[in-house]
Amino acid sequence: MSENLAKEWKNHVGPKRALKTVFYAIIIAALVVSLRNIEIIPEFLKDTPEQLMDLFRRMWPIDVKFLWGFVAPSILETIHIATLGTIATLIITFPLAVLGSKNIVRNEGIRYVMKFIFVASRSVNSLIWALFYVAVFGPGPVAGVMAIMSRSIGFVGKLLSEAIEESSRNQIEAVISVGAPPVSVFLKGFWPQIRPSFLSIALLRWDINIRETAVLGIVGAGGIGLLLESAIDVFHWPGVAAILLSIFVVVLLAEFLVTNLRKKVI
Amino acid sequence: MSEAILQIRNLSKSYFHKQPVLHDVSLDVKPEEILIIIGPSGAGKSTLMRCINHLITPSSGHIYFKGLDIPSLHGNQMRACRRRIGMVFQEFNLVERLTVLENLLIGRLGYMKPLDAFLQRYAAEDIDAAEALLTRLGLREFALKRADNLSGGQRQRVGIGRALMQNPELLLVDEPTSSLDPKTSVEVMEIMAELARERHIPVLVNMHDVNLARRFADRIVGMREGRIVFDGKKEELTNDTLAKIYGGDSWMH
Ligand SMILES: Nc1ncnc2c1ncn2[C@@H]1O[C@H](COP(=O)(O)OP(=O)(O)OP(=O)(O)O)[C@@H](O)[C@H]1O
Ligand SMILES: [Mg+2]
Repeated sequence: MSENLAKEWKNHVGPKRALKTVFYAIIIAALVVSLRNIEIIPEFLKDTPEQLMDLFRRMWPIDVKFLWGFVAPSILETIHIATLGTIATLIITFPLAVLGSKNIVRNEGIRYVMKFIFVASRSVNSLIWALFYVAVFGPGPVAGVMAIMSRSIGFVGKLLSEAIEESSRNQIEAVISVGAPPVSVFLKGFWPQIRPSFLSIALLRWDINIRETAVLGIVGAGGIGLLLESAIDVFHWPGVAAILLSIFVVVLLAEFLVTNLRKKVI
Repeated sequence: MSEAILQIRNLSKSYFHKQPVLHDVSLDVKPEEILIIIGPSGAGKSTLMRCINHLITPSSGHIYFKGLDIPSLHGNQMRACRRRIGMVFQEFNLVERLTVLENLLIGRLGYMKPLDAFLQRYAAEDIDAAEALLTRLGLREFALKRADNLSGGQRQRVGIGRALMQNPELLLVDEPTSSLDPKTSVEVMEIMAELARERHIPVLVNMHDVNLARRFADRIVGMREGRIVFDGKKEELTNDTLAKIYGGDSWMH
């Protein structure tokens, strides 16, 4: 090759740059098309600020009695649903994730079944899962727990499988070389390596689940969403404000807790 | 001459069809000897060692270890055989997030039920043995520290400790010093040779460093391109033989 490197470099990056330009052009085009498509009606937008102010005025002061009497127990139920759903997910998903990891299971068929379960779980929104389970079990927290679980299996399974597959082969090989039985190889070779990821994934999903559970009640699957829906139905705006505020506080607290705990486990 | 501990007979291994990495290798390891295999990168030294511990299965040939033909073993028999053979790795291969003590105790896993391993119920005598070894290795104070806090030389000593915890009848040592500085290399080799001799364990070592091999070997084997091209006492390892093993002699000057 007599070409100089500068030239080679140009040929190397040239096509990539062109590709990038095309990519951005497509994004801008998509933005323009969708803006045209959704037909924003200016008349409706014009009085938005007044509408908002009006809503806030009706919400204030928040209904404190309602807050302690109804919102607090309902928020508690929401946290219970999210927590139970997350724990059930972890118990069910752990073996599935192990079976879906290619450095543990050689059989491609088994792995694909697991991948399919994970994808199926993630492709359905938790509200839809909730609708389904409300139809099966009737309204209430059981449907909520099932919905949260069905949705979380895919998320936890995928991430956990990836963590297992990223384990260092060297460390595993050493444990195999001492003649340890397979279960011990998992316990002392894989588990110490994946434990931080496992805890981190569990906390992250619990945090997400708290937020998801908050809306599940809208379709009857228990928790604060149920209360929110009925408060809106009867135009009890100070109550709505109490609910929104408590959801906000709980989500914030969960986020804070999870961030700090994750720092500890990693 | 005493009976060999390990008899390798006509061993061949190809990872890909018709591209053998080991060609018809035969080799004996005798009781209590330190046998060092030298040879260029890619000669097949690690492959040979991994066949012995059945981490890979050879394409043909036999490996007799005290009457067992290792390549023909499976399942429990294979594991029962592995726990009698200790292995030390170039990259140390410690379980980084476990303590130094637990890394040593990994050497006992072949003798333990998984449930006991899960509950960390290690036998008191195993912990005593680990303590004695750690003291000998100069690592007693690190026993409850995580393995990823140690330096390279310390890690390799943990690796040696783990292998010795198996009460092995043979030690396989794959380039133990390639990641270490020259001084640490000698120290690590010294403690390993000392502990192995005390326990009358034969040792099979792979390494690149010819001088280090001369210093510690009872016998040296030269490998090149999957074949044994030299097998003799260290005094017999002349520059001519080295040229034959590594190809050319310009690197010697
Ligand atoms: N898992 C594998 N799959 C395919 N080829 C392999 C594998 N492991 C080793 N090889 C090839 O086998 C040959 C011998 O490798 P081996 O690791 O046994 O050599 P070595 O003598 O230990 O070399 P080094 O001194 O560099 O460690 C090399 O050409 C290598 O590329
Ligand atoms: Mg090697």
